[in-house]
Amino acid sequence: MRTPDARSSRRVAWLVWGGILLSGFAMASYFLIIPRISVALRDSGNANIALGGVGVIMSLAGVAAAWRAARGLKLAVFSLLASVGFTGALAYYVHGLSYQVPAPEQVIAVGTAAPDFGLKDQEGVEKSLVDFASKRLILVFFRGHW
Amino acid sequence: MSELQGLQTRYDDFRKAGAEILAISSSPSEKHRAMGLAFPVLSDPDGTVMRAYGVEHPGALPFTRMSVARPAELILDENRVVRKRFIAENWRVRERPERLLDELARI
Repeated sequence: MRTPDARSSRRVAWLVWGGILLSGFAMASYFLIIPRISVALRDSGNANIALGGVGVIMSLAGVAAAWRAARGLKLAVFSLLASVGFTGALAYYVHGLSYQVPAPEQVIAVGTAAPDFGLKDQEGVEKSLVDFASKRLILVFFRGHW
Repeated sequence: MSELQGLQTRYDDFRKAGAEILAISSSPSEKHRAMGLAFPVLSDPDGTVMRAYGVEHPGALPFTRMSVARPAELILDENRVVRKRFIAENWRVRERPERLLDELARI
């Protein structure tokens, strides 16, 4: 039979590592997994922030459990800082940083003629707007990543 | 699925609507080739064309400080006049193919 002491430190370890891993996974998966599986989850980002929040709560419970058990407190505090860091960084990216784009007024106005250009396509062939005469065009300015 | 892969899944519908897709990014041609897309993806490494269209986000990439496009989609008519613009307010969200097709049907 396990002693109460061993049981409480298992509980602390479970919360502490669970909190770090869950919030780290919430942040990494937003960039690596979510874009492949759901446009809606990618556009919102709040599901991942909420998952990171669960990690923060686990870490917080880990700190409380470590405090009561009077052991493992240092690691528990580190877990809390890490999970708050991961989740905070993700929330800042989703709701702050990604809004830092140039003013929309700069974009070419409706009703104006689109300036022509010559740029190389993926086969190395130079293309210009003249090549698409008599067709309507969807001009997509692609930032990359997703 | 990337924005461009999403457009590729509806490529036939765009062509049926009498429209061609033309993507522009600051990445090199080799990277565009690796995407394996059916429509042209043009390389604008120094952002000249992006500047001309007012969609350049100067020095946006970390470390390299390379310019990238702020996400934007323009619909041009047969006379190359801008008829509609979709301008993202943040760089994570891109216009969906369905919205572009709806707008093509309307104008």
